Amino acid sequence: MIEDLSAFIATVLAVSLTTERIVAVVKTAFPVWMAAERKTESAEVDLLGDRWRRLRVHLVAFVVAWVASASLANFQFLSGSVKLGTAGAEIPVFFLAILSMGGSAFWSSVISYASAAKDIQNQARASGSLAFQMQARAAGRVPTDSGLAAGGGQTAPGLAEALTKITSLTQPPLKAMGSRMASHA
Amino acid sequence: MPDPVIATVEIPPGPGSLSVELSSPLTPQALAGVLWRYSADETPEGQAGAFTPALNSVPIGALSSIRNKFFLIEGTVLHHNDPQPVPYQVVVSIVRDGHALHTEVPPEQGTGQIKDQNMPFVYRFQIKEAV
Repeated sequence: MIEDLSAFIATVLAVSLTTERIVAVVKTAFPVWMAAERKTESAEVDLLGDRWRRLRVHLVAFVVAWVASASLANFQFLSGSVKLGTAGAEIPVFFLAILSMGGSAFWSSVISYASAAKDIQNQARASGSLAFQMQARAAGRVPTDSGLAAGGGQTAPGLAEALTKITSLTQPPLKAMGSRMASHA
Repeated sequence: MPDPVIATVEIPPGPGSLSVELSSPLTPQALAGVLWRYSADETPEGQAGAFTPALNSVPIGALSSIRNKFFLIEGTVLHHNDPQPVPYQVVVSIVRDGHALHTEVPPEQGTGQIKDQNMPFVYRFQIKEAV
């Protein structure tokens, strides 16, 4: 079972990487048709206006994934199956292509989750830094290194005041009026 | 008193973690603040993260885990003891996979002028799945 799963993951990974690389080459070769995202005036992705470009990318990805999958089954595009490991498990070429065509989207998601994990670490570091600053102030000390770490070493005169407020706030009702981050608050 | 504005942010379904980013692309000021999270019935769920000049992005999770939840940013534009008032503009972006899916200037003091006092701003939004 584990062997089948390992072989399955390795096969999808191999076809997906192949698809990703070839789609990247196609995007580089035809940037206007394949790579240039349509954006709205506010620089957001225009989901409606960009749909034909996305469809073209999906189509190229599927064709590449299909060819790559079929190459593992003697180029039997419709009736072929790819053998996984030595236990006899197989996956039809068509379904392998569908699974693997995620290509760039799949890898973007992997990178996105890795990036989010890094951001969470940074958040934890900043929270620790802010907590240290609050404790130091409560003890009558002037925090230096930790406060600067949270602030990125910048010396905006308003930074210390803002960090002090951030560490002392409790969650307000959603519709509470005004902000407690004002200098006079 | 009228209810405060709550923006509806429609996110197309898809994998990947969403983040909230604070920036001041047109003006040089640094920003700081707190991001609070609320359930769909507005029950407080705690702090989602903090913004500092060194950390302008707070991850809020995948769409499936935050669908219909509310968020509140209590932020501030940091002053630099300017002798004259100078303009500022705050931009809040909801980002996935490096793509800004929603970008907005907070309607409550997202733009204005700053001199020698920090300028607060507030932005409330609800995440919805686009259909």
